[in-house]
Amino acid sequence: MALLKKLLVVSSIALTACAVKFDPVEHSRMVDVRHRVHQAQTEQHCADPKMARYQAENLDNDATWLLFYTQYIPNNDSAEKMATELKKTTEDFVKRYRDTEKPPSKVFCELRLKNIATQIEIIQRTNARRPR
Amino acid sequence: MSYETLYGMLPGYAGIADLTARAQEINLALAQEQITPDEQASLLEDLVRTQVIVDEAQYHEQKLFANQLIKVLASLPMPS
Repeated sequence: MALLKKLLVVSSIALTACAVKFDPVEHSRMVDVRHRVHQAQTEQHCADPKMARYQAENLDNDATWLLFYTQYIPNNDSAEKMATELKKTTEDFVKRYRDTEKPPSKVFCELRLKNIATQIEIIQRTNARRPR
Repeated sequence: MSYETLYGMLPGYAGIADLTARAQEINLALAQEQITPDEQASLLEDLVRTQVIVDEAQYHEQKLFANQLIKVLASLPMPS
């Protein structure tokens, strides 16, 4: 029994060492992304292709920053993987405004913002629950 | 802290994403010609990426849960 308890204590220490602590800097940028999406949705930026493109570019910049920040931190693979998926979404968003002669439709823009909002909300929730 | 309390702390990320409802919304927009087939495909790809994020979040939660559980077990008094 004493051996089992020792094993539990060692496992606990090992798992604690593996768990990345809450990072307010990383969290702050997640809030930035969420706030930007919220702003674009509530102020109906999708109705104006110029404004929509501007927001898409800003979102992609923030997602790039977040991805770079999550990289190379030990035991931070989960955050990096999630940031990579978010970046792919924002990258395609901005690409559509840059590459196509005809801008994406308003409904496409609204649905894309919804998808980004969902992705960043899950990422933020996960980060928020990290041990302090 | 009981096992149920600990397990209840795990949030359901799949519920937040609600990918089935989102896919229906995207397909409806295509049916109503509000988006092009190319845009529909791109939006459905978002959902695949969201699923990856959900899976990763659940994995993260399981690690947190295991961590908490081991801490609780380690804090239990040893039987004599």
